[in-house]
Amino acid sequence: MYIFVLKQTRISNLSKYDPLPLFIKIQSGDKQAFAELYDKYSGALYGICLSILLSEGEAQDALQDSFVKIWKNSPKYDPKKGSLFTWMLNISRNTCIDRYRKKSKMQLVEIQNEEGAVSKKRNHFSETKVNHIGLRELTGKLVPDQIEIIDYLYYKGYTQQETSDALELPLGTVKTRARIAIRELRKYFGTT
Amino acid sequence: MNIEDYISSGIIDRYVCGDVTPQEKQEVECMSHIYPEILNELRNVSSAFEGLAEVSSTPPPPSLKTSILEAIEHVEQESLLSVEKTGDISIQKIAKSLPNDDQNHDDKITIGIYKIAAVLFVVLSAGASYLYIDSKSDLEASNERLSSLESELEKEQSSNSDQIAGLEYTLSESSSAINDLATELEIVKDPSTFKIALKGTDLSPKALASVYFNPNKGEIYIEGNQLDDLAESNDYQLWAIVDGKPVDMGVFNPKLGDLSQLQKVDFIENPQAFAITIEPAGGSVNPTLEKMIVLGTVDVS
Repeated sequence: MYIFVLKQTRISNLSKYDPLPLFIKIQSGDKQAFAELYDKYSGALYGICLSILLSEGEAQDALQDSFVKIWKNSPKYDPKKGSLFTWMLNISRNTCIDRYRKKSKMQLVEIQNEEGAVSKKRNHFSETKVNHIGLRELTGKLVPDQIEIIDYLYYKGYTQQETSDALELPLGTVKTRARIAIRELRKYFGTT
Repeated sequence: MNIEDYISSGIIDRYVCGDVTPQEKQEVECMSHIYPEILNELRNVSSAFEGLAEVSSTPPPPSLKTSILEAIEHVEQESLLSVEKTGDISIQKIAKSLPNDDQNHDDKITIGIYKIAAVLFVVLSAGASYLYIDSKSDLEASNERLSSLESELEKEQSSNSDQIAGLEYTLSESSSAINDLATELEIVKDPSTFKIALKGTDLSPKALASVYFNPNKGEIYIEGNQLDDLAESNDYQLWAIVDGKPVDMGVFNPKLGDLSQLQKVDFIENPQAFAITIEPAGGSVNPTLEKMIVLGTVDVS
């Protein structure tokens, strides 16, 4: 299964953009400012939704839920706890992972019913190796083992323990691979 | 508490991926308040994922924007500010007082109308109509006044919450800036830190940068003191000369938004000199020597 999407060619340089003045307006209910925030960040958040849910329809629903949550919880955002972009990314990621888990639970039940035996694997869904946009960006930069770890820990939202079970690797190996993968990720995508 | 060990335990990696217990989450947040190195690590890891999200950016269908803007019309923002709560009580007080006044007013008018009716019949109809219109317009006027008071109050609340949000932001920025400066001072005052001045070359004689080199702690910091802004298509790149060969220390932006201007780079041993060149955005594998703007030799005797 291969998701074909038109890739955004403009370089938005979000790392250099300071969204806080805009966000302060949003916290006071300014809907025009919210529309501007949407214009600026919807691409990045939609990309994440696509990479986690692997379906445009699901990703669009999740993106809507995420932006509604961002609007609703905007007064609660605290700049001391971290960057706004990360705050919004986490809202999107969590929304998507919750949906993804509900979907996989349903599929796990299907497997049990058909075969009459308890499947040891987490779910059928995760077995499909989908080359989503996030992974495509990592190809050529990180080695396959590292890409797989990022996929499980970040995009699938597995804990390190769950990843260790799913990939049948010792927990220590998962930790080490994660450390190295993130270090490599910083090299290519970090701002320092 | 050993910061290096804390970081290498991988707890920050797990925090960024959401793979932490509530206690661990609190702990990381606490630690990042106390130790700037941990805050820095947290920022670096988060920014790597932000960068990944940015390059994977995909525009959603335009109809989704409309749908979302429509959806927020029906959703209230979660308010935490107490100013709003007292505001609500005040509105209720105003709303409660006015109807009572109207009731007394209405009673008086009714009595008045009956009194007039008892005296003159012809004058009564004109008078009654006049009083009726008058009382009705008084009620309307009261209602209008209530609405305008309500909207005045709303405006004040909104500007108050704006102010508070603005002040909170300023306060958090200030305390974070103070933390940054405290760290910077520590680094500079450390007796085992060597300061290496990178002076301007012929290409840019006024350029200036500094490297703070601490072989004891294994830390190196770069500070751009006098470096011009570059076009979007270029970046400054730092190099260390080791064994006569240039080693890439990374691309950096000398103008940080914060007060603190020191940026940490990876540690290397035995640098003989440091230099900065102007390279195409993203940096180069080898330095463009003709674009070297500052150079400083290391004397660690």
